[in-house]
Amino acid sequence: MDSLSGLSLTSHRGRIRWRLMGWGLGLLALALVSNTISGFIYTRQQLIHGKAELHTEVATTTARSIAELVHWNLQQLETLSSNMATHTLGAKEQETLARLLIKHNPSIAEITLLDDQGEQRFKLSPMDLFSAAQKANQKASLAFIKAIAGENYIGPVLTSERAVPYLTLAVPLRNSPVQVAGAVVARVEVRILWEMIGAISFGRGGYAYVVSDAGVLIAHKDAALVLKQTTMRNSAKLRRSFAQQGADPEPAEIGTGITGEQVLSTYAPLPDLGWVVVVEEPTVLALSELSRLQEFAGLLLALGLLVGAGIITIVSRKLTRPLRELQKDVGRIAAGELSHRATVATRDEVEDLANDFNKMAESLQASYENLEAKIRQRTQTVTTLYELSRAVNQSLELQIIIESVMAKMVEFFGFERVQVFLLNEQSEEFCLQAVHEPGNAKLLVPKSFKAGEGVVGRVGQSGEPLIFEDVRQDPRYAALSSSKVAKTTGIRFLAVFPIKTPERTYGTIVFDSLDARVLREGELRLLNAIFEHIGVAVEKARLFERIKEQGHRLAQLNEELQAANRAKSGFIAAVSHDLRTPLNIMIGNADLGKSEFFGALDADYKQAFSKISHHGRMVLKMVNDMLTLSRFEAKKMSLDVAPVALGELIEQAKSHVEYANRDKKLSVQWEVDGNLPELVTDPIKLEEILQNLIGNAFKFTPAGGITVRVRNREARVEFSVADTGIGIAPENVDKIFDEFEQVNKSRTGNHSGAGLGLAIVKKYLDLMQGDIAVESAPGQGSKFTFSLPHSVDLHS
Amino acid sequence: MLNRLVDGVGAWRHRFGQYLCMTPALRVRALAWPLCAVFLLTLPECLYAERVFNIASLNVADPYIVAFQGFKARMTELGYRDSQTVRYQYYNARSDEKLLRSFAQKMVQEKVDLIVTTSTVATLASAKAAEGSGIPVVFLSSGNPQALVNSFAGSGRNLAGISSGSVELTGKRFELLRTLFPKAKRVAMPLDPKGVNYKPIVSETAASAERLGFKIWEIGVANTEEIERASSFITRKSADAVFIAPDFRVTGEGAEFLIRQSLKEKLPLITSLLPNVRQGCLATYAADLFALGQQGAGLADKIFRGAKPGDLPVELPKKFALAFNTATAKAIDLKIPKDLLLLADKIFE
Repeated sequence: MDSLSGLSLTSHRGRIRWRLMGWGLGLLALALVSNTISGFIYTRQQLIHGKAELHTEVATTTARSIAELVHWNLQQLETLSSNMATHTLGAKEQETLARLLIKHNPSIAEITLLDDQGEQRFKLSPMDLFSAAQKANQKASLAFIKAIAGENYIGPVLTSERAVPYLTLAVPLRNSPVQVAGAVVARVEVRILWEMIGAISFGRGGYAYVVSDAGVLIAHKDAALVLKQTTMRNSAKLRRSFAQQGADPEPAEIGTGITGEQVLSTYAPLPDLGWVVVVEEPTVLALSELSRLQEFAGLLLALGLLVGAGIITIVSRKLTRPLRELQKDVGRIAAGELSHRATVATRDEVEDLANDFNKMAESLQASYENLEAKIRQRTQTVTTLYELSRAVNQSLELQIIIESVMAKMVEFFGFERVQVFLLNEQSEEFCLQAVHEPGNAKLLVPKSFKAGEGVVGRVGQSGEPLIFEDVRQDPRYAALSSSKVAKTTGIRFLAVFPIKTPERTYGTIVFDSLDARVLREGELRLLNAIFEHIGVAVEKARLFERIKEQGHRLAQLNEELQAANRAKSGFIAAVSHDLRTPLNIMIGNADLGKSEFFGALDADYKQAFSKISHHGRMVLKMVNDMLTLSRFEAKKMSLDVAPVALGELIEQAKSHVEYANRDKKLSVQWEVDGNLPELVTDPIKLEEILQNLIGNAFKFTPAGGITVRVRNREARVEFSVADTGIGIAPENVDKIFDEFEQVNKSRTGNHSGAGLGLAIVKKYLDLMQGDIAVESAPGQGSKFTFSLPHSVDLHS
Repeated sequence: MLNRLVDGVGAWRHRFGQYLCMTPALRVRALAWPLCAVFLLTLPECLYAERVFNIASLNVADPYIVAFQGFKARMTELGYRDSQTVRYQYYNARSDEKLLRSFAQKMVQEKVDLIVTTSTVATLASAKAAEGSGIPVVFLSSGNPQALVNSFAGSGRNLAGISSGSVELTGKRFELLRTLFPKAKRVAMPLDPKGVNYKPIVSETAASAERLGFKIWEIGVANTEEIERASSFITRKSADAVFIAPDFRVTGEGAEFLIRQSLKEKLPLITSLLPNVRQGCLATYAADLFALGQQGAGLADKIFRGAKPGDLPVELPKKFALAFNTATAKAIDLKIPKDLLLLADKIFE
């Protein structure tokens, strides 16, 4: 159930809605964007087409106006010329006519009358005063040549020193339709052309300018560009216009404008003047509607998506609401509320799904209850087994075990009475060992059954249980029972189980009840398992009783042995003590004899005394060692602790070594740390240990050297005695500290002893809280290392 | 329906509760979008508010007011509504140069959008005061634009305007005098030797006088009082005619004394300024100040629309006017030839 409640049922919340939103908005956006793009392309084409018409209209209108302007001026000159022709060349009237024209036409900055030889008859200007000295022959001028030839002349546009654009016009002065008497030349300011061009504004930021056939800018709204003599020779479009001299075949063409920005441009030529009117409109402004369209489309897109999102949200909410309700219901079921049922009524697939969930929940609930019952039963079994095992293992006393088991059986299974019969091996009868009756009615039952007798005897013999659910109804009981106790006691239920191990049966256990009952399979399995435990427990209890008996016997024997050992030690101590006195006398007299105390002796006597002294000392040592050991065994050995100056102790050891090495057959090295502390230990035993180890080294080193080291190690002092002697085989290293062990006797030769030295060293060191280790190899010598604490702990 | 309303109110109450539980930073963020929306909705009002241009006019004498009137009239035609989209200030220094400079500085301090001047001297004072301030100066009438700009193609600085061509027209005026008085020889010409136009005037008059056979009597005057005093010396014995050169002292406050004296002495008085003819001068050939003012309004409009004053070429008058005062002619017993009257643009009676 916990695992169900742990399910993450809300982890994907909103996924359906988001998916619907994603797909819906994606498709909507795709449709809107496609529509916008196609609309944009179509609109752009239409816009450019419209611009082309507008540009063409503006350009041609402007070109027509300019042509009309120039031709109007030319016409005025022609009128003047006609009027002048009625007067004598250079007459005052002609001058007045010219002045009147200047007055009425402010664009005329100068009028000159030339005779047929190009001589200037007069020159008038609204600003300048001309003197006769300024008169000049203009026979070579193009204006005169054209006019005298009877043609009108239109000169190029130039700029005066006052930054005013002008052009020169000339018309013939005719005396008659066929005779030209002179020429009227006028300087006409075309500043009005600038104003006209500057005033042109169309579309969005559209403007016009005029370029001469030389590619020089004639008029532009920005006069500075004209005054800078801006040239447009590099414009491919203009070159094409001059070459074609017709209407622009590609109006509103996108290209680079006069100011370097992207423009839509269209031209219209002025064939008579050789000029071209160009109209331009910055692309950014001209197509600004497209930008607005883009913005509008973006807005529509956003709006469409917003509306779409709203609709999708509503739809998805409608779709997902029952799902969410179902999810909540499933969540409650998953959380353990198995009786809860989904209540979705949408009359669609979701409702079907809810019904399926409800069925599933019902199945789940049933399964769970079944499972719970099984778990409960299994738990009870395990608990019972545990309790019984604990009761069984709490004691090794058979009676206690049986009583505990009976109490638990009654408690767990509700039997009214439990009896235990155990096999008496001598009489081969199953005797009543214990009865457990919680109630007041003490029923009288037989105390014993022979093997094979009655139900109890039969079960005890066969090792198979017998269960009578109702003894009154069961014919087997009548056939088997010898006591017929059920009839007298009113027992209805009776079950007898063997107490056994795989090897043998120890007894039986009897359950009975005044009511008939049926033991379920689980109870039977549990009971069988319990009886296996009880069988083992009874076997263990029996074994324990046997061991306990043997233990008593062994303790008795041990006491006897210890008494004998104590007697042996006492005997050895007494014998040793008694041997020492005569041995000392014998050694003393031998030494006196050897030193010729009793008179001069020859060499053989001396040698005999030496042998007596030597072997006597050996025997004395053996006796002393045995005495020491007996004291250990008698537990009479104790420490005589005192401060030990290691320097003095080592000096004594050195004198001992010098004596042992008086024939100098071995080299002896001493390596002693300078900062050795004062030890608190038993000095006599320490000296004895050192002498013992050094003595052994001399004893087992036929040639070579001995090294004695004393080092201070933290809270201990380490002593080591190393030799280059015969060494010890690895298999014997562990034995050398045993009593009466002397390894490799064949190799020790005449150095054989009782083998008690190292055993005593080991026992001393144990007593002194020391330790000893040995490193040795045959033929490579031995190294004995022992250490002692700075101060022996007398309390441990 | 009622249930939905109650639910809606409940939802908003819940949201308001959530808002109150927010930290200050989150509250600001929650309010940011509504505030942006309100700002965007009110933004067009700010953007579409019309700008009001402040234009100051600096003048040196009363006669020049005509140019400013022309300027205002054309500005109105161009769509600048007085007191709504444009405000005008008019300053007249009345020939006082010190006052002229102080007016110029005042205009710059007030950070007007444009200074409009009507003479070379007023333009020089304004241009000097406005130097570095970025305030454009448009001169409606300058008799000597060479004193202001290096090239007619553009000043290259915050200065644009129209040349009245007054100095250059000296020859035409002398030609007019010769036509009216073929026998005249001595021409009295009061002039401020320290005036900005002095040198070109002297040069131009000398050249024209020589060409037409006049002898110029230059009378140095430094102020109106001196003009008044000097005018008394101009008699038929000392001069055959009087010429008012394009000098603001003479065309302005001093013209009145010269007119009075010329009438008294019955001397023909040719002036450089059209309004002087209305005052009593005999004739002139000069640019129409009203038209110049109109022309200058076009420049102001270009500047307000983003054109750089320094890039605008110095313009010339579109038309010159030949003007006569027939009353004066009658007063000095002069008969103006018919062919001249035929050419006349303005006749004051």
